[in-house]
Parts: sequence; structure tokens; C-alpha cells
Amino acid sequence: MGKIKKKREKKTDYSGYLYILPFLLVVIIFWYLPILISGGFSFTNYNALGTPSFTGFGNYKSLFQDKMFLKSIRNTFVFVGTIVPLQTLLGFCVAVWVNNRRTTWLGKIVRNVMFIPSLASTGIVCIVWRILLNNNESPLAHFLAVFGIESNMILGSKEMIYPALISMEVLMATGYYMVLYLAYLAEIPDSYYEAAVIDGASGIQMMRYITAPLMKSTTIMILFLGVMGTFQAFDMIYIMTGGGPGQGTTMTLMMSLYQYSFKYSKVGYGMAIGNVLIILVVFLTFMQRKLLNQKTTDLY
Amino acid sequence: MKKKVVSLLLCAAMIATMLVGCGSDKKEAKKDGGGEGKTETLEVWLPAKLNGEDETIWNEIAAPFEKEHDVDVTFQFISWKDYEAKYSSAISTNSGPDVGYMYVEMFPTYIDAGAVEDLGKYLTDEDYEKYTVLGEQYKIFGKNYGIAQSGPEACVATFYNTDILESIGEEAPKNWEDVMRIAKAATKDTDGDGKIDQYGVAQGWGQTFYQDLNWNWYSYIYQAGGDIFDEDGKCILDEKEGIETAQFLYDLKNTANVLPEDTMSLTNNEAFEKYFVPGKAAIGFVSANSSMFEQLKSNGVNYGYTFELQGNNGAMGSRASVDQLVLMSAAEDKDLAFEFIKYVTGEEGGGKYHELAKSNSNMKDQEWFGVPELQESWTKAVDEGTIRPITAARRAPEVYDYLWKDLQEMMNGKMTPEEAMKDVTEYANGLDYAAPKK
Repeated sequence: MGKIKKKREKKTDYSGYLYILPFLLVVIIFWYLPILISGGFSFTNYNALGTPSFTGFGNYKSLFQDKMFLKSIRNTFVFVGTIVPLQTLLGFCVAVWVNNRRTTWLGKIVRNVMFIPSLASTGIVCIVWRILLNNNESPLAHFLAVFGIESNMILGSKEMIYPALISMEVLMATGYYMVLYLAYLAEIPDSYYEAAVIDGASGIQMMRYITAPLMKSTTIMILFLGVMGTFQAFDMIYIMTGGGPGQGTTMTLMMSLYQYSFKYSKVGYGMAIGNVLIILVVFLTFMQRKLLNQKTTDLY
Repeated sequence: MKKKVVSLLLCAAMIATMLVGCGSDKKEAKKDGGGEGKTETLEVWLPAKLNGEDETIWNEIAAPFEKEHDVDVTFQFISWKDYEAKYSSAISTNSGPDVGYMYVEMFPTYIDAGAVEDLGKYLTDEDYEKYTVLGEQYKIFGKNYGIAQSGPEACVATFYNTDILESIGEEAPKNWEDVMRIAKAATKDTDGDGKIDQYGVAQGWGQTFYQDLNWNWYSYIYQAGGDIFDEDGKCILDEKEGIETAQFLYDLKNTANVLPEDTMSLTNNEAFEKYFVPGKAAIGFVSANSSMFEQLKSNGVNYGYTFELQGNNGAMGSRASVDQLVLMSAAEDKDLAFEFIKYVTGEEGGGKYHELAKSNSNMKDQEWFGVPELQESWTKAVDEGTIRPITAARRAPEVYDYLWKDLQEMMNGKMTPEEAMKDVTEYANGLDYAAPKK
């Protein structure tokens, strides 16, 4: 009797795996398999139309001698390095502001107004931006003129295009991150702030010692969502500049990948670019996991 | 247990669906004829270029053919921006059309891949006699891989504002020297507020890809007596003609200052609409088509145009599109697909297309449905070879993209014309342009 009981205790129930199997299959077939296939094609001269032949590390060697590719890596890092901190900081500040006024009509309006751009189609938004920038009579042109900026010069200027693209991306994404922050801010018990007020803490001190530490894990998550999103940014640059003006001024890794794979029919080369991108994103995801493991704060 | 069974069933259903989806034979589906009782389906891919009227026009043209051949012709209209990407991804997955539509730049890749058929074996002596678009200059690598539905279209013309020219005592420009002189005289502050409000040339350099080479490059290099590639496909832009062309364009912006200040932010068409159409520019280089003429007339612009602008040595050239309908090698019923091409480019279907789309004729002695005022000058320029398509070359999209971006650098003053042309030539000839070994 005792033996039977022991056997039953040791028996593992594998039924759980069955329940995740459908999703696992989807992930394997539509995510991991293409990655593996693209890995294979990146060692060939595949052009999407003919039979590929093996070229070894040829594509990767060429990549690191390709000035345009190196430029696109640099540009991608510049975009990530500027857009991500800005949209995170702005998202956080707006969320705190809205959270403090969440029951007022102004707070509700700001929350919705900020969130709507993140729902809009990037393609349409970019087309509208192009029209607004190039029209001397547009409200945007008049607004920028206050700061001495001629809006109709922006798209053609190698110097002004970066700040313009960064501003657009930040404005579009801030609302989304604001909503993420708001969800977590709502979880902070009011009693923390009430106690701080009794202790005589100022607004800045409450932000420094209560809100910011409790938002640490959310911030890390938002930072990495932002990093991954910006690494893969494509449509805005494609529509607004096509990687220009001039040689690779705003070319990013995703733009390069698209250009080589679809416009020049150099799919093998494009997939090599894609794999470099995957390695970078995997590395960052790994970093994210490491940082998230240290998410606990002194308050919890 | 019940849950396990449900889970297993779900997995099995999903796998089966995926396998069915992946393995479905498009050709088999085509044989069903789209469920309208027809025996066969013919898939045709075209660019969306008829101002949203594509489907209506093409359905009307195809109706008699469908009835006669008991076939269902389905159309897919693709935007220019994603045109080639759509073709390459579809053909690589064997889901391309039976009849396609290609512009010159596209042909080499698809010819080398064996994706399009040489029409030599289908075309008859009568076809060569009747069509005006099968001659040498319309061939790709010496062969006819398609039939153009219209004669040369979107031909680049030099438009000039006759009121502005009159006000500065000038006549229609005949050559580059005239253009430069007129442009300098026309660029001025007309209302006395201290700001330039009338420009010499309405030209835009802000296009995000190489499309605007159509208006801002090909015709000029023909007028200089040069070309981008030689007969072997080698890039020759660093030769005298290429540098001369680049210098002319560079001077317009950086020496004579006759372009609008936002020239680098606007596409060429945007610049034309913003400055030439409202009468704020003396000269513009755009395609001479019905919508352009209508736009100018509706805005009350007094204008003239010419296809015969000459470069410094008297050469002329106007770039034109001669896009062609092609028979895809993957078409199951090639004879039927070719029949369709002949129908829509021929007297009945082609004639109908010309009438509905107001396009230029592609056959001898065909009724003219194009812009009435264009007929005489267009016919003369086509007959004399002034209007001509660009030359096909391998790796051309890559070179054109690079050329366009270098021209932007040059116009922005970051490169000299000589540096730009040398850089493009070096890049282009560093790429493999030999025909693949069979």
C-alpha cells in the first residue's frame, strides 16, 4: 500500500504541457522557425527569385565593410539613445501629473489626448506631418516660427531632420507609456503619501522617496519596451525620409533590412542584417531580465 | 480527461489548418474560377495609377475578353511605393500573377531569374508591323519581354510660364543656357517686401526614394549627350556628360540660387504644384500628361512647353515611361495569358483603355485619345527619338537609389558635382553587373 502511494506521488502530470501546446506551436512555427530559416539564408546569396548558393560568412564580412550598414547601426543607436529616455521620462511625468488629477476633467482630457496618438496609424500621421511641415501656412509652421524654425526646411535638412524625427516619435509614443505608468501608479496606496505628508515631506521628496522607487520595475519594463520598439522602428523613417536626405542620414537597421531584401532583391544580405538586429535585441532582452531580477524595492 | 481531449483536438485542428493553408495549390484554386461558374482564372497585377478608377476601368476593358474566353480575370492594384517589393515577395513564394506589369528598372532581375517570358515566340510579323512599341529602344537586353499598353507616357517636358517670360523680355527656353538666364532674371521679389517670391525653376529634391530621377536626372543626361550605363551595363556617370549634367543642376541651386528655398524638402511634383501652378516660378520640369494640363488650365496659368530642350552641345532627350505588360513564366496557361496581353494592348481592349485612361496610342494609325494639344509635339518627339525610355541595366535600382542620395548631398552643398559622379560610378561598378551564367 505504501509503495503504491509513493508511486502515485512521484507520477508527474504532463497535462499542463498539452494546454500550452497550441500557443507553443504557433510561437515555434511563426517565430522561431523563420528566425532559423533566415539564419540559414543569411549564409547564401538568395535573391528571392533564384536558387540560393552558399556563401559562408560572405554576407557578414561585407556587412562590416559596408559604410551604409555601419551608418545605420550608428543611427539606430542614436535614435534609441535619445528617443527612449525622452519618451520614458515624459511618459512618467505626464502620468504622475494625470494621476494627481485623475478625477478632474482636465486630467481625464489630458490622459485621452495623450493616448490617442499611440492608437493612430503611423503611416497616416506621417503623411499629415509631411503636409504640415511643408505648408508655410500650417499651424505647425506658425508654431515653429515662434522659435525661429522654418518648418519647410526641416525635411530636406541633414541637421534638422534628426530632432524632428525624434520629437515626432516621442510625441507619438509618450501617451502609450503614460498609460502603462498610470496603471502602476494607481496601485500605490494613498496611505504612503498621507504618512509622508504627516512627516512633512515635500512633493519632490515624495516623488524621490516613494513614487520613483515604486516605479522602478515599471520603468525598467518601459525602457526595454522602448528600446526594442525603437530598434525596430521603420514606418516613420520610411515615409518621412526614406533614410535620407542624402546618403544614409536617417538610415536605420530596419530600413537597411527592408531596402536590401525587397528593393534590391538581396534577401540573403538583408537576412544577415536581420540577424544582427536579432542578436542585439536578444542581448538587450537578456540585460532586461537581469535588471528585472533586482526589481524589489526597499518599500515592499 | 475531457480537457486533455479538447486540448489535443484543438492542436490537431490547428496543425491541420496550417498544413492546409501552407499546402494549398494556388493553381488548383485558380482552376475553380472564383466560384462564378467560370472554368479558369487569370490573375493580373497592375500599378494603381488611374486616380482610384483602376478597378472600374479595367473591369470594363476585361469584360468582353472574359466572356469570349470563359475566364475570370482578377486584378490587383499595387501602389508604386511598394510595387517591386510586392512582386519579389510574391514570386519567391510562387504566388505571383499570370500577367504582370513592369517598368524598365524591374526587368533585369526578373529576366535573370527566369520569371518573365521572352515574347519573341508569341509575337507575329503582323504584331511587329502594327505595334509602335516593339522597336529596338523598347527591347530589354535585345528582346521583347512585354508589350506596352500605351506609347511613351509621362514624358518629361520643360514647362514655362509665358507671362513671367514676357515680363522679363524672354522667349521660350531652347537650351540650358536659356534656362539659366531666364531663371536668374525671373528670381526676384515682386511685391517689394524684401523677400524673394518668384523663382526661376520650380524643382524639388526631397523625394524619399529615386522616383524623382524621372524628372530631375534622366532627361538632363540625355540632353548632355550621355547616359547612366553603357551597352555592357558599366556605369559611366563620371564621364564628361555626367559631370556636366550634375554641374548644371548644382548651379541652379548653389550658384544661381534660382530654386525655392525649400527645394530640398519637396518632391518635384510638390514643388511644381507649390510654385509653378500658382504662377510663382518661370520654369518647371514635369511629365506632360492630362492631369498636369488640366491643373494648369484650371489655375489660369499661361504656359508653354517643349520636349526639345537642348544641352550645351545641342543634344535633346526627354525621359518617358514605357511600362510593359509581361507574361509571367509561372502562368499556367501561357497562351491564354498572352492572349489577354494582346487583347488589352491591341485594337479593341487597348483602344478602350486609351479612351478611358486618356493615354497615348501604341499602334500605327490608332485613334488619339491622349491630351489633344500633345498629339503633334509628342508624335514628332517620339518619331525623332527625342522621347525615349531609360536603358535597362542589372542592379539599376541600387545604383539609382545611390545616385539619388548623392544628388541630394550635392544639391545640399556637401559634395561637388565631380565628387558625386565619381562616388556613384565607383559604387555602381563595384557591384556585380554581369549576366548570370546559365
